[in-house]
Amino acid sequence: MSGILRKRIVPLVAALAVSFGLTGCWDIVEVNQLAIINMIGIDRNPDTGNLIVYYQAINPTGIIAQQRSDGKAPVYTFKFEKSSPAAFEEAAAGIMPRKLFPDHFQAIVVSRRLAEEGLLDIFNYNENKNNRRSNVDVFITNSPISEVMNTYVPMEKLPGRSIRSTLEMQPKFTGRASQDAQLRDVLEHLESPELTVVPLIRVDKRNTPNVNRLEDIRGNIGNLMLVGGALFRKDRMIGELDTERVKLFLTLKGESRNIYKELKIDGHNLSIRAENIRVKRKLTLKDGTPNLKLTIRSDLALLMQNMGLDLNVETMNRINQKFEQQLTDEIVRLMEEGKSKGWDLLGVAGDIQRKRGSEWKDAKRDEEIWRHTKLGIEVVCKVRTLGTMAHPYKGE
Amino acid sequence: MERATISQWQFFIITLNFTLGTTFFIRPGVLIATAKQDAWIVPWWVGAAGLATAWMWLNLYRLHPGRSIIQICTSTAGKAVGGFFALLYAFFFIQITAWVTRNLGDFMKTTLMPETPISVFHLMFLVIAAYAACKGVETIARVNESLTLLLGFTFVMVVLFSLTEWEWKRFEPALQMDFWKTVKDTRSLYGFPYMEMISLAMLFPYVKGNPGKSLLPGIAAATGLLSLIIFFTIGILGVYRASHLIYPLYIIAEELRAAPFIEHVEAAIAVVWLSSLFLKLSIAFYCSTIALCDLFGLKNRSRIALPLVFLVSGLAITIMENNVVNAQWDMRYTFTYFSLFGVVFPVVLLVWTGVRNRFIPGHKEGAS
Amino acid sequence: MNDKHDFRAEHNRRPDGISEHLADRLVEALGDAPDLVDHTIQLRPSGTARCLYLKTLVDINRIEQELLRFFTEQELPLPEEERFWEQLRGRMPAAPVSEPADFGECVYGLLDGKCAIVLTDLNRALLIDVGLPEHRPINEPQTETTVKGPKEAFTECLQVNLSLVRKRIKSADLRLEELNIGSVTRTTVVVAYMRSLAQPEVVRQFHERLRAIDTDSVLDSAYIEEWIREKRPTPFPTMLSTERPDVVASHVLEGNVVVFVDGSPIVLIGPVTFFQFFSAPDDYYQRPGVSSLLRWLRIFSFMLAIFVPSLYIAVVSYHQALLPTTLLINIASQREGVPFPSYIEATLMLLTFEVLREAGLRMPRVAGQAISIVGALVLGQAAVDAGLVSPAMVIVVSITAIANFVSPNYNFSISQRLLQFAFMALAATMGLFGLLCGALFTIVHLASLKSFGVPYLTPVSPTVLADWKDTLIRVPRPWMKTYPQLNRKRKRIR
Repeated sequence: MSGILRKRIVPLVAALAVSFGLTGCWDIVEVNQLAIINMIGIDRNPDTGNLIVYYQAINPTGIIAQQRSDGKAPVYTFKFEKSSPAAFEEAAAGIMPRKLFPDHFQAIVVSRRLAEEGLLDIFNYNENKNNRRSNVDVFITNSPISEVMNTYVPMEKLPGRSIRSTLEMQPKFTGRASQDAQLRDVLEHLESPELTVVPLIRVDKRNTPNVNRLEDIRGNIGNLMLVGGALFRKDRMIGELDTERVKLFLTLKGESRNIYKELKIDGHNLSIRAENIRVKRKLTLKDGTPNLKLTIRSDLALLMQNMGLDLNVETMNRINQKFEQQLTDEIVRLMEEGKSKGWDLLGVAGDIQRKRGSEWKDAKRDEEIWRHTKLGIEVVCKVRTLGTMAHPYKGE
Repeated sequence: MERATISQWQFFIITLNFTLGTTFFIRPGVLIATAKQDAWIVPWWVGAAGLATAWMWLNLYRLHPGRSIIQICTSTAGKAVGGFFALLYAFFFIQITAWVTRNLGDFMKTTLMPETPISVFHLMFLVIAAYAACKGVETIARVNESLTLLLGFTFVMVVLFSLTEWEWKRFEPALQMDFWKTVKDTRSLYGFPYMEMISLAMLFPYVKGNPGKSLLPGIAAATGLLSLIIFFTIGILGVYRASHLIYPLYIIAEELRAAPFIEHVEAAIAVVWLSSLFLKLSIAFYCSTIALCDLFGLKNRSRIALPLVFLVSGLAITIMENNVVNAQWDMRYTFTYFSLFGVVFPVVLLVWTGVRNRFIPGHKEGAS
Repeated sequence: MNDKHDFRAEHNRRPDGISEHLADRLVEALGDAPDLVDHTIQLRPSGTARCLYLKTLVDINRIEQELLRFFTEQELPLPEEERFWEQLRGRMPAAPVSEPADFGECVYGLLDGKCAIVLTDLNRALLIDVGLPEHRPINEPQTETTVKGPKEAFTECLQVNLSLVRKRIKSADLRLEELNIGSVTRTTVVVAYMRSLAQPEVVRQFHERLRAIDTDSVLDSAYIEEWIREKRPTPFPTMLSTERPDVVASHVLEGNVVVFVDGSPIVLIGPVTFFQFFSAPDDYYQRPGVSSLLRWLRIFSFMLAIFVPSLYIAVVSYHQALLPTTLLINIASQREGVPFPSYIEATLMLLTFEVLREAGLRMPRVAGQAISIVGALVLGQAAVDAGLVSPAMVIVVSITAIANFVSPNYNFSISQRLLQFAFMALAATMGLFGLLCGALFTIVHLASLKSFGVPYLTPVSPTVLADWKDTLIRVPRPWMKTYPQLNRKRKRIR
């Protein structure tokens, strides 16, 4: 009996079971039904207290049309205003003909005023949602968000990717920004007293928010520019640093390996590039005050000098010394400035938290102890690369 | 009981997969939240305890060679009492299977495919596990063998790529934990996964030679790997984020950018995770099936396997409402509930066997 | 044997009880066949004999020169005497001479290419084997071509095939066993193996299964294959079939068992494992490093062929987050205006390709070239321009189709195609998860499959490290010291 039963029943059950799958494809989404978001801009409306979000969605045919130099817009920006981050997807569904697809966004731009209030809500929402990722770059901007979001940029089709690419070049070439300026890096320090720097961008005021911009040969106009860094503690912005200070800050943190510097020797200008910067930090406790010893090593590359000086050993030594001295001065100045504003720019508090041993217990509890840090700096550098000229042209 | 043999190496792989299968994905987040930077040390002492318990099971098996744990129950304590114990064991195995299934459904629903009803995931995997169970333990052993190598390789690749994010200072300060408090807080690790391994006692009779030779190294290896994985999670993701996430490994893979085009490897890690989960599921399902077969004297596994699919999938939905409830239950009860089956019952059986052998002369346990 | 014309039953006689008018009855039994030749020979000193043979089956030269001369040119002793038989046998040592046991055997002998000499006075008959059926000369292999290495292929004649193998294995250990299968076709089937190497269990299974065949006709080795293969339904082949004698020889030398079927240029080899389907004969004639790389390439193409269409469907329809952004934008822009969802597109294109492939097989060779060019390029491009499919789809299908052809074994490439479509269906319903389920199911199925008692996934599982020397890689010959354990090596060292 069971044999016959098996032959009839099992195929029947199997067929039924398979047919359940036919109702399936619950998660299926056609590619053309997606609005692929490239950049997100967030601001807070000071009057109503609501969050304003700009979604910049990619127009796929526009991108391709651009390749063939037609005049179609590669991106479209949508603006919504709601009270909490989670309401935006629903709001978007009211206007956009396609499903919001934020998985691929390259950059978040946050207005300064929102950054100063704190971004904890946004962080939580982002991490929790399964289709958002935290390795996106965060930018703070002083310019109005609407201007930033409505800017077409030259050379790169997608503005989001454009600033991301700009950002990615910095650590290697200029040291103006760190690789660790992504959302997740800010998240990691949410509970520690360490400071992070998030890139600050600005829009050139003379922008034309339509596709004609793309036919204008002037590259500076209407472009997104990197102008420094926003200082973050935990989840809010506490201040702004200009480019030079950002470079220094990141160097001391060990996140910038190459920076560009100008020196003055005997009234002559030199341009050098400090490469391969390695920073060693040693924090010890003496009589209850922390002592920070910094050892900085670097190789210098001489880019240009109009000193009319011959390139001999003595000159090299002078360059080395000048660099060492200038760097030491700058670091001390940075620390003092930071102290005056209440910023622990050298990251001493963070180091203290990571120390073991019972002697550090009191130090860990004292939140202001970093102010009393005694700083010792040692800079060791050598000119290594000179360029292809043995002696510079001297003119007449 | 079918006539089949598993080699030592196959049983080693089976032990490894069964222990690590769901553990390496679900446990790190919880452990790091409890023990912070030193979470990677936790598996060592729990593993040691697990090894000791496994050694006790092996002793029990030595007294009843060739018998699975269910058969040991019935032969030692008689049809009624032993049968009752055996029934409890069978239910325990089914529960484990349901748990594993639910882990699967949760993962798929939260990360990759949120719109699909959760039962679809359960049923699809369970059907394949049932198919494997019908084919027998040798098939399951071979599947384990073939897949493990591939999975290990992929996993190692992903981890190696993510080493670019490594920072030693995430471990500082080291060795700061309050030892006894941590032991108390992490005791649920002992329950899941180590006490689940009593299910493997169903497979002892099939192993060629002494199962201890591959069981104990398997547990040790799994412990080492778990510790290593937690170590990597701390180094790559950091304590703060890892302790707030349910699936830290998935997030690591999601955010990986080793080279400009090697992105989005979370698909690879999801495949590794799902495959190892499947391996564990097939072993657990098989143990449940033969537990029921042994208990009720059925010869044909396939008659049990198909209805068991539906039972387990139903159980998987009701076994917990959501993750929060699960986490709480886990903290409080896993240790005691699982130890009941992993420690208390075997000890009782050991004592009973000892008593019988001593006080009822001539009634030695020999081959069945 | 289920046989309507069972001459044996009808006329079961004792050896020396052959009835009168035997020759006439033979002619009648064969239905007055037009190719039946009926000579009357005069014997010396007296007596007649009739010589009957089917001229389509015998070597006429030999009959004329040896047989008839013997009978007509000499002074023969009387057939009653033993000397007659001795002389006869001595005169024609090359052709086995036998006396048929009964009438039925006589008829079968004629059908088998023997010449029947009926001594009318005595009513005795002799059967002399001078058969030489027509067959194709030895050509190059059609489907398994190699760059280096021998280029002989089997033909449809069993004797020729056996000789091709015998001349390669000059060992007394090579055992051949003959069977007759098929009640009407009475096909000769030969089982060959090395007595000291082949697993007796495997040989026994072969014998058992061959003897259990109960059918009327066996026209090709494929018929035999269907009878003796594993009973469990599976898309994967459990026996290897080849038309190259060097492949057969090397497998026999490793302890496998082979089956020759008369009338078929394909020889069957068993047992076989999954990984052997990735090795081509060329592997053994090229340098080891090169062959290892080529094997990996084949395994990679296998993966491509199965997974590429389903991965494409799964990722484009379900998991768009997994694509790099640029690619996603490209695909999105390509798919603007395409009416079908991606899984319909994929299925349509692949079905079209299958139709093209079938058509290509049937086309006369002259027109076949036209089909391949027209079909592939123009159709693909035209479909894209018409907006029916997206260019990415064309790429996917082309890669799949080409990867399909990489497999050295034709049977296996059919399995690939089956798997491909199954995975596509799964991917269309459940995305990557469905694909993974399909893959896991296939692995479980492979793990449970056995070919003549040998697990299909050996030597990966059960793990036999020593055999890995010839599975995914091929180590140089001097390192291949042991026989594969797949046949539970009876000898360790070569």
